[in-house]
This record gives sequence, structure tokens and C-alpha cells, in this order.
Amino acid sequence: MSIIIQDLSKTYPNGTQALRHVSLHIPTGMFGLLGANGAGKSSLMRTLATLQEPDSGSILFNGLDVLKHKQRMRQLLGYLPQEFGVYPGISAERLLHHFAALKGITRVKERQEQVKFLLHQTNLYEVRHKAVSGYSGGMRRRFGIAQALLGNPQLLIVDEPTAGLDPAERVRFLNLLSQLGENATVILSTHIVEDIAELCSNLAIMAQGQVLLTGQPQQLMNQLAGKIWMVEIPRDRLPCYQQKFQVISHKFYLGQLRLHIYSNDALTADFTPVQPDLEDVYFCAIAGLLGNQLVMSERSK
Amino acid sequence: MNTFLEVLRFELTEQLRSRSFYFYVLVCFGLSFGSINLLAGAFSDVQVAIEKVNSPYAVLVGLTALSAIALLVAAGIFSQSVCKDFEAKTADMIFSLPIQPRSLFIGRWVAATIATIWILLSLGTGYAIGEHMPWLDRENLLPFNSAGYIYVYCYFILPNLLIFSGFYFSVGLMTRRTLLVYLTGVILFIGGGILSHIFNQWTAVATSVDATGATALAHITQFWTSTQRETQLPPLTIEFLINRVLWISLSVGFISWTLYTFSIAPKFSRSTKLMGRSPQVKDLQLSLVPVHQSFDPLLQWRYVASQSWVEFQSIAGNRWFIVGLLLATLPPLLIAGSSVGLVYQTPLYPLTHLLVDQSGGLYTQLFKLLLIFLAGDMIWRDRSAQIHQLTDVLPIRNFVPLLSKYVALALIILSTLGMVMVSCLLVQTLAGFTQYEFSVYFILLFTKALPELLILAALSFFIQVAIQNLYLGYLITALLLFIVPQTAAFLKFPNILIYGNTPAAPYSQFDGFGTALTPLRAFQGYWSSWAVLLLSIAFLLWQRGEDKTWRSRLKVAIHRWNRSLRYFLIAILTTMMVMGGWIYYNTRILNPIVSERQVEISRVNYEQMFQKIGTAQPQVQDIQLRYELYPQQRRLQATGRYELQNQTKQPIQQVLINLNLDNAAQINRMALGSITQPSMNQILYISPDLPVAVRAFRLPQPLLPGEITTLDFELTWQPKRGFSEFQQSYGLTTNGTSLDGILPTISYELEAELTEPEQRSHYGLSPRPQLKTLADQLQLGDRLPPQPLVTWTVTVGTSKEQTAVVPGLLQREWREGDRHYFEYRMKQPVMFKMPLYSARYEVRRQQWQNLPIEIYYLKGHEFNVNRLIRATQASLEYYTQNFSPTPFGQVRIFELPREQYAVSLPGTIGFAEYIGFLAKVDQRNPNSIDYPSYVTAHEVAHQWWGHQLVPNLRLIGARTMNEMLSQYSALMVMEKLYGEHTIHKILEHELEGYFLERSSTPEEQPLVSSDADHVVYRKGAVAMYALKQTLGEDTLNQALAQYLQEHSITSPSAPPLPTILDLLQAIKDVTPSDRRFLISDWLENMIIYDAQAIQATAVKRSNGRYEVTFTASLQKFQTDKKGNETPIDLNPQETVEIGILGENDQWLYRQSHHLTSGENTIAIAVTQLPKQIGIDLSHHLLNRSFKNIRVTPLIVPEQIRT
Repeated sequence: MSIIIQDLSKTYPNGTQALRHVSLHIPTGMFGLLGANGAGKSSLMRTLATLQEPDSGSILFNGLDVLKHKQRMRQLLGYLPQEFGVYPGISAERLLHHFAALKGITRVKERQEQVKFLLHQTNLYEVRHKAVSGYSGGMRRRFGIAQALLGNPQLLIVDEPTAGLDPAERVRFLNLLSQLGENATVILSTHIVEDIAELCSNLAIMAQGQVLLTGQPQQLMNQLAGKIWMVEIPRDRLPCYQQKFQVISHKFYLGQLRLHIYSNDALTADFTPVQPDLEDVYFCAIAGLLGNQLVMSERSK
Repeated sequence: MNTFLEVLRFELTEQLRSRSFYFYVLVCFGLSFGSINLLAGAFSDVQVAIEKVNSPYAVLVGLTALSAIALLVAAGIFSQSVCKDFEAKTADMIFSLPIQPRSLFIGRWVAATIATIWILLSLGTGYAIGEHMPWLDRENLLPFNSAGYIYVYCYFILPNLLIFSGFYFSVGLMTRRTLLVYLTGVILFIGGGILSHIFNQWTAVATSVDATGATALAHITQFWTSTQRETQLPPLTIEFLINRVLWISLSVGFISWTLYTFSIAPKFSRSTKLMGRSPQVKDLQLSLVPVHQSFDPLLQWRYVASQSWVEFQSIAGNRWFIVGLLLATLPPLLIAGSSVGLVYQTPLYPLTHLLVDQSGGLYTQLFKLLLIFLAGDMIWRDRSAQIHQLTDVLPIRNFVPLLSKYVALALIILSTLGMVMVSCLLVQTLAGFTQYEFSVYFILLFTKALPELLILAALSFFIQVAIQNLYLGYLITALLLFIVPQTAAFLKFPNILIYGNTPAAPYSQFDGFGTALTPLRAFQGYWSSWAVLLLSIAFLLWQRGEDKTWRSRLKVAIHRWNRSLRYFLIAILTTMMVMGGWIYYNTRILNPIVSERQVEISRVNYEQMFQKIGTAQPQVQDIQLRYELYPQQRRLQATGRYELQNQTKQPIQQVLINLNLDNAAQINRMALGSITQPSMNQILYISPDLPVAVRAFRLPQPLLPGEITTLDFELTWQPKRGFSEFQQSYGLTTNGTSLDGILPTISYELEAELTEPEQRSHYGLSPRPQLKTLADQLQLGDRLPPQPLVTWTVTVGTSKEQTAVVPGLLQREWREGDRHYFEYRMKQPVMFKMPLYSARYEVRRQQWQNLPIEIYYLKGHEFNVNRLIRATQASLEYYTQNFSPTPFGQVRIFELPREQYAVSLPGTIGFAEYIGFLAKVDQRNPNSIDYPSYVTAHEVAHQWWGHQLVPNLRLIGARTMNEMLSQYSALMVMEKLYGEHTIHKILEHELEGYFLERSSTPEEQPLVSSDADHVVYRKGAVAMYALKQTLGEDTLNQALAQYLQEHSITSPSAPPLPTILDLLQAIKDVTPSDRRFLISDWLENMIIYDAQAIQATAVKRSNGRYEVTFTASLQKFQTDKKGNETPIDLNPQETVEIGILGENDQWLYRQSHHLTSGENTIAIAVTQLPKQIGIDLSHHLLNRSFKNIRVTPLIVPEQIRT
């Protein structure tokens, strides 16, 4: 159940290069996609979801040429977009039935069972007769997840899935996803670094249409071991430190600025070495300090 | 397939669950139910149509019209079904499913079609059930016939649904914007209607361009009589079928193309630049930049200005909108402008007010529809873009969004009117016409049309704000703007109750708008205050935020109701009541309108009080009169004396005097002999707005036969106080005074009696003798006296720059102070008809053999003056040569404002501006006819037929004599001026006029007993010309001249009264016996023909000759009063002309043939190439297929034939 993306490129009519020679190998399991807005995550997801045609490149899903056989792909996939609307005045149950039927679940009994199961899974069973257009933001997102899961898809693409969920819902949802990840490929695109750290066996970091970094979370974090340092400074000293050091991130913390600094060499005692987390990996990748090229060159050294 | 079925099932279920679906069904049912009841007289006694309103044809027409509403609703249904994924943002979810997008859309289309079919069926159901309602008078209805229903659904409603839905669907899929789908509907409907109106003469184009098929239908049935409409359904002609096939193919093609090219990729409009790459996020300096915020209340008005501009640009900047609007206004105006006011295929000069009126006529519906759709689009924009969640939180006052949208809409209307003005200016310039009259443009477009549209826009806005559903809002506004005003006007509601209605303000270059602007402004003020009221309520109900329920909206409204609003509304309501009160005062109290019932009662009283007296009345013999006219004050005074003689055989005790009370006529003094007080005084209403004062004076001693007495009177006329809500009267005006029938008459008017037998018995009156024929009338003898023949001497004083005139020879002319005086004298006794004209005239003088010819015209209207002179000269020449010497030593023609008629009096002709002075005659266009000359010749002819030959106008056939003979004379003059070819063109127009007007006449009479315009003018012209062909010009003219000599009032001995029957005899006397049947056919019976050319071939022989084989069909019909046709055989002596025209339209062959009924094949040899072959090309038959009388032959070379 793996996806092989080769050299995917896409430029929009107004000149924006959304994807630039993107190549990825996504095995079965949870795959995280991390990146800023406009990095190309959504474009990639939409292309995988057969909603967009790339300019060049190929995608193979278990050997199936996705771009050539879109219809077949749609039979296997579930997609939860980042932003979506619903038809006004239709209940969750009816809309889910409609989508299920369109997904090819023609046997009424099977459909009923699947819809019932998913409504329970997403905690919408109590309100299944109410119109989806009247749901709160979180409920609407849960509905989106439910419809994506119809038909037990082999590839599940979820774009910002936990946005708008309260902590309990988030945990439930992530559990559900990881259960699915046992037998299917789940591509999870998010800003919430913790979600990826906790769940994903592989990840990719994208920026400006390119893949900056791929790998396993733990491995990547290990690569930074001993290279991340922390210091707390007053706010106005920031420019000074930025000049002297490789500041990869700064945060406000109790009135002071807390800086994370990347340094191959040891630093003075003011600086505290920290265990690198995925966020540090992300910032380093963005800064160009970590990358597939870099990783390669590190290995070859 | 699976996708298709599932989508179909889902969509249909949704439709059946939606409340709006049932609402539409209910509305359509209600509309059709209401319509049929309205037409059948359930709500009023108004007679709407002359035939039964549930005949298959009437059902066809009614349901086709009603289906327009349903198609409008359908636009909403289809656009919703196709755009829903894009508007509800479910596109990503749906299209990532394993479905075929094409199946999805076809499923949606089928579902929407099925839903719309249900709605359309409710139309027919409402109509059918409405027909059967027990409260309807079965007399007005035919037995139920399903044929009409089946026909209209099969050929109109369902095909139209197919056509329109295809376009709606495709446009929706392509553009994904609801507004554009509605605009498509508007363009198909209105655009088709406008174009087919403009291309009216080119049948093929006109019928093809109208997607609804209505024009094709109209063309098939345009000449149908009421009997045909009651019994038949239109046959399916080729043009109609072509229309259906063409449009269905276009629609299906369009859908196919859109589906084929559909891609789910989002639409990138060039204006939206996606932010692909986020800019490098520099490290944020987190110090906030200080800003000042100002919350000055006056700023809110600046926001209104800037927001209005934004809203305006969002619509006006949309290139589809601009293109659509330009296409809709410019080309039609340019085409139509060159043919404004067509009469006999000749347009009028493109005067400013004519062009503006024409655009109004073309575009009223379009503008109203625009208002409806734009209002909805603008009000819902923020919500549909979901931006309201941002904008509703901004610190702007509640009135800002509503007001800015309204101002933006006003700007759009303003620009559109500006475009109309530019188009009209363009038309004028291209025609080389430079009388631009900018003030008229300004007043008509920007102070009349603009406020009216703004008032309607306020209603449109109000509905959209109040109703939470865009499509429902569209439907209700459409109902309020289209259906309700029509129905209310039909039920004779006053203007004050029909939202937005204002009185008309016709313009003339004589006196501008006359007095029409005052009532116009009054109504505008009244309705503006209503508009402001509606906008204020809209403001209170304006939705800000998410609360949608009525309870929450009312709470918010109450919260918004503050003190300044209260004062504001008090001011508005006060204005409304003041204006409304003033209007009511003027229209109902100052000038009360009487009801039909009161009219009836006054007529009954008239008969009961005066009939006995009226049997013997003296005749006016001589009039001495002095008029003082003050045009600037619109005031007229008259002091006069009649000399009356008892010309009956009985003594007369009481004299009956009538005075038309129009123009606020007042009798200051009236004395008969020495009697100054009338014994009886009554007001008679001929119709609700025509009161007549009737007085009877009792003489102390009866007036013996032959005795003379006098009537002295002093009368004043002045502007009516106040205004009426309908057309203002223009008789007394500052320039172009035109008054007729204002002097007292001495008679008992038989016509004032009630005629309907049921009415008479209701009031206890004995039945009237039936006066169906001339013979019946002649039996009444003295009760129908002829008009008196009168002499007069009249002095008229008018203001110094004007010329005043009454019929008669000018004796002297002088000035006194700032007054200008004329004295006229009519020495020989003529019919008592003495109009008074006065205006600032220019004059051109000419002669014909020492007889003065004078044309008095308004400065700037010189275009056709020389034409009129030339026509007068030619007419005088022909008539004096062929009929008799001219009796009234002059011909003076006076231009009158505004109308489209001409009236001929002895020596003087009143000639309205639109019937000849403003015609733009194009000599180079063979199809355009110089009708100014035609009308002039006709009016000059009346100097013979009507003023020398003076029949009793109360007798049947009198009008026929006057008009038929004048038409004939005018035709002969036109033939001398322009040749035979022009005559054929004129006859074609007369034939068209005849058949068209006949179709709207309930009962038809033969020429000898008809009074109807289309018979005496149109049929009369064709008849006389045909008779001339048969008898020969000289023979006919001699007969007429002889008849005239025997009956003319100028003959020394007392002439017998001319009647139509003895004129008929005079003509028969000079007709050979084998042709006498023609006189009967034309004049005594109602005979029509159907003569058509079917096909022709011409074989070219080696000797250069052509052998033509021509097939034509011919059928003669006898018709009865109702228009039922019975085929009859041709008279054995009857011949029909077959003609062949060559390449230069010259006659290659022209012979009369004896043909048989049915198909005839004729073989003719000609020496040159035949271009056209036809039957009855010269229009000697009353042929209803006069448009299909010619064919182009198929030229066959000789070899192929053998």
C-alpha cells in the first residue's frame, strides 16, 4: 500500500509554482506532511485526491498509475479537505447515505451499517438527524472525517484534520487514524507538530513547492542531538543574537524571549543544550540546516 | 449509471422536501387559477376579449404567457442545482468520489427538469380547474376542451422548458454564478422579443430569433378572426417547426459542449491572483504601530460613498455585464431608431422624445428584470461570499450597507440610462438629424425614467431584505412588478393604489409637456415617500450577524427604532399623506370620475326627459361669433349668436341645447330669444369623463315652421382645476390650441340612449327599434335629421405671435395692442364643424391656378411642407379635372400637435404632426411610401367627398361614402405622382391593415353597412381601385362626377340626400352586366380570397424564349359577420391576373385568366428571363394570402428536360 511520487511539478496559470519536482515514497502507515501555508501541501494533497492535474511527474499507488486511472483511484481513497461546505438543510445521516451510495456502497444494509458505525465513531450519532449546515465547527469537521472514511479507503488523505477539535475529540480522532494506519496509507497534513510526532512513522517537510526533508521523526530528531541550544534573553537583545548565532526559533516565555540556537560546536554555559524535538527539526529544515541533500552529504562525509 | 440514479434519487427527494418547491407549485396554480377567473369575469364585469376566454387558442395564449413566470422560477431551480457544489463548497468532497461528473450533472439536470415539469403542470391544472368553477357565468365560456392544453404543452411549454433549461444549465456550469443564469433567461426572453419586434418585416428572422416560439405563433395567427380563434388551433408551419428544432438543437448542443469541456479545476479569473508563495516571514518586530481611529458620525456618510462605489464596480466592472448591456441596448436601438414610428414603412424623423419613448417601449421590461435580479444579487453578495462574518463586525452603522447598495444600484440605472441617451444621440447623428433637444433627454430620462426605476428598486430591495430566500425574493418581486400592476390596471384600480404608477407625459415640440409635469411630480413625490418608507423598514429588518428567525429580527428592529428614526418616519408619512391627499383631491374631488352606473342613469334620464322634445328641433342657419383666446393663460372666451330656423313641419315649443363641458366650459349667459332661463337643466355623461350640459328652453310662443329665432351665449373655457390621473387634455394649450365641438349644438342625440335590450328593460325603458340596416334608419325619418348646413362669420383674437384660424375665408386681419385678430367668413352653407386652431405658425404659400395653397407649420417641422404643397396641387388638378370645380376658394393646411389624424373642413385641413409633417420619406427606398402626400390627397379629396357631397352622417353607409371615395381619389393622385408600382405597395399595406384590424373586431359588416375603420378605409381603398380596373378610370370617374353633380350641396336646386345605396346604383349603372357581380362582392357582401403562388419552372428554349409553367391556388370564400368562412365557386365571368416580372421589375406578361377553385397550372411563354411570377400581383382581390402571391421560378435548361 505504498505511494511513489516521482518528480511531480505544477505551475498555476498565474505563474505560481506550487510543486517543484516533488518526489516522495510513502509507505503504508501514517505519513505526516509538514510545512508552511503555500508550501505546496494542499496542492500535493489535491493532486493525490485526483482533483488536480500536475504538469509533469507520476504517482503510483500500489503500482496503479493514479494520474491515468483517476476513477479507480477514487474508489480507493477517502479525502477530508481543509475547507468544505455542506448542502443546506440536509441531515448528517442522509448526506452520509448519499455519499456512501456515490462511493459505490450499493447494498442498502451494508450502507446502513457503515453509516451507523461511522456516526458512532465520530460521536455524531446523537445528532444524526439534524442538518449538517447547523453543526458547530468541530462537529462539521467530524462529519468530514466520517464521509472520508466511507468505504474503508486504502488511502486516506486528511488536510488539517484536528483543527477545531477539543482535546478529547482530538485524542479520539488520532486514535482512529492510527488504527486505520495499520492497514492503509494515511497522509496527514497539519501544522500541529505534536500530531505528527505522536503518530507518524514517516514525515516530509515541504517549503515553496519542494520537499526539504523526509525521514522518520525519531531519526531526524536524533540527527540534531547535541546541536540545539536554548537561551533566555530580554526582548531587545534579539537582533544582536540573531547576528551572532544561528537562531532557529524564538518564543515569548514569561516576559523573556526564549531562543533555540543551532550550533555544531559547543556553546558557552549561558546556553543550555536541549533535546531536539520535531519543531526544532522543522525550523532547521526551513533554515536549510537539515535537508535531504544535507542528509545525503552528511552520510557521505 | 449508478451515479446518475443516485443523484437523481437524491435531488428529487430534496426537491420534494423543500418548502420552496411547494410554494412555487402553489403560486403557479394560484396564478393560472386567478387568471382564468379574472378573464372570465369573476372579479369584474369588464369584458376583456371579444371571444370566449377558454377556447383552445385562448388557453394556448394564456398558458404560454403564464409559463414565463414558471421559466423564471426554473432559472432559480436550475442554477441552484448546477451551482450548488460550488456555492456550498462541497466541490472537493463530491469530486473526489468515484463518480462520473457528467453523470452527476445530467442527473441534476434531469431532476431539476422533473421538478420544473411538476410546477409547469400546476399551471395547466390551475387553469383547467379554474374553468370549472361554479361561480363563473357559463355564457362566457365554451365547453371544456383539452385540445388547447395538450397543444400548448406539446409545442410550447415543454419544448421551452427543454430549451431554457439547457441554456440555464450550461451557463450555470460555465460561469457558476446565479446572476448570470438569470441574465441568460432575461436575454432569451426579452432579447428575443425585442429583436423579433425590430425585424418584424422579415418573418423568417423574427420567428427564428424568439426562443419561446411566441413570435412564430403570432405570425401564424395574425390575421385570424375571432371565430377562428374560438374554434381553431394554429397549424404547425415550417417556420414554427424550424424555430423549435433550431432552439432545441442549440440548447442540447450547448449542454453537450459544456459537459464535454467541464473540468473540476477551480475557475481562476484573471483578476484573482493567488498568493502561491508566502513572502519570507521576516522576524516580527512585535511593537505595534500606533494608529488613530476616528468614529465621527459624519464619516458614516463617507463610508456610504466609498462603499457605493465598491458595490457599483463589482457589478459594472463585470465584463459580462457590460458586454451584455451594451449588446442589449446599442444594436436594437440603432436598428429601431432608424424605423421609429413606422407608418406605411416610412419612419418618422428621429425626434428626441420619439426615440426615448421607443426605448422605453423596448426596454421597460428589461429594466424591471434588471432591477429585480441586481437587487437580489447585491443584497445577498456578502452572505454568499461568506464575507459577512467579517463585514458585520466592522464599526459601521446599520444603514451603511443598505444605503450603499441602493446608491450603487442607482448608479447602475443612471449609467444604463446614460447609455440609452448616447445610443439615441448616435441614432440621431447617423441620420443627419441635429435637433438634439438635451433638455428633453434630461427630463424624460433622468427626471422621469430614473425616479420611476428607483421607486421600483426600493420595492425590490425591501422584498429581498424581508424574505430570507433569494429565489423566493425574485419570484415575489417579479409578481409584484409584473403581474400585480397589470391585474390592478385591468380591474381599474386608480393609480394611487398601484405601486409606482405615474401618469404619462407625452411631449410635443409645440408646447413641451403641457400641463403633464405637475401631476407627474405629484405622483413621483407620493411614491417616493412610499419608497423611502420601504427602505426604512428594510433598514429595520436588515440582517446583521447570524440571527435569522423572525422573532430575533423583530427584536433587533425594535432595538434599532430610535428617536431620529421616529422623526424621520413621521416626516415621510406626513409627506405621503400630504401628496396622497393632494392627488386624491385633484383626481377625485376636483374632477370627479363618475361610475359606469351613473353614466347609465344619466343616459336614462336624458332619454326620459328629452326624447319627446327632441323629435322636432330648429336648425342652425348662421353663426356670428367672437372668440378671445389667451393661449398663455389657456383661457378662451366666446360670445356668439345662432340664427335658428324651424325647418320642420311642426311648431317647436322647446329647444334643446347641448354643450360639451370639456375644458371646464362655463356658461356665463345663454338666452333663446328673450328667454334667459332654461326650463330643464341636466348633465349627460356619454362616458365617465365626457359630461355634456343639456338645457331645454321653453319658448313663450311656439316657433312656427319657417320662423327664425336666435340663441345668444357667452361661454368661457379655462384650464381644468387640478389634474386627472390619466392623460391630460391638451386642447387649450400655450402653443398648438386645437379645439373642436366646443360650441353649443341643437339636437337630440339618439346615440345617447341606452342600446342594450337588457339594460333598457332594467331601467324600465321600452325597447328601441332595431336599426340594423339603412332601410330601418330611413324609416325613422325626422328622428335622424341630417346635420345642419350653416354659414358663419367668426372673429378670433389670439396673442400677438400666434395665428388663429377657423374654417372660412379670411376677410381681414389686424392687431390691437398685443392681440392679433382675424375675421373669417364662410359664405356658403356647409356642415357645422368648426374647429379652432391657434399656434405660432410659420407659413408657406403657393398656388394652383390662382387658388391659394397655404401650409401653416411649426418652426422646425419644414421637412415635408413642399411635399404637402405638391400633393395639394396634384390633387386639385386631378379632382377638378375629373369630378367638379373646387368649391371653397382655398386650401389651407394647419399643423396640430401630438396626434396622428387629419380632419378636412371646407377650405381648411387640420393635419396632426405625426401623420405627415414629421415623416422621413426616403425616395430611394421603393418600399417606403410617401404617406404625407397620400394623406394630403385624401384630405383634399374630402373637399369633394364630404363637403360637396354631404351625406347624413347619422345614417349607415355615410362614412363609407366619404372615406371610400376619398381613398380612391387619393390613390389616383398617388398613381399620377408615383406610378403604378407605388399603388401596389400602398394596396399591400391596406390589405395588411384590413386583415390585422379585422382580427380584433367581433363583428364584420360589408362595405355598405359598415362604420369600422378597417372596412371603410382599407377595404374601401382596395375595392375602389379594383373597380376602377374593371370599369376603366374614365368610366368610373364620370359616374362619380355625375353622382356628385346630382347630390352636391352647391347645386342650385335642393339636392336629394346622398346615401350609399344610390351611390351603389350609380356605379352599377355604368358596369357591364357580366361584371355586376363584382359590385355585389365588394360592396354588398363579404367576400375574401385565398390566392397563393405555389411554384413555377421556366424552361429555356434554344430560341431564347422561356416556357413558364406556373402553379397557383385560388379559393373564394363567403364570410359571415363572425368570420365563418364558406368556400364558394368563382363567378364564371371572374378573372384573376397572372403576371410575370423580368429582371428590372418590368412586366413581361400581364393577363387576366379564368381560373378554377383549387390548384391551377398555367403555361406561358415569355421572351426574357422571368424573375418572379405571381397571381394577383396588382392586388385586385381581397386576398388574405397577399404575402405569398409570388414565386421565383426554377430555371431549367432545355437539355435536362428532355
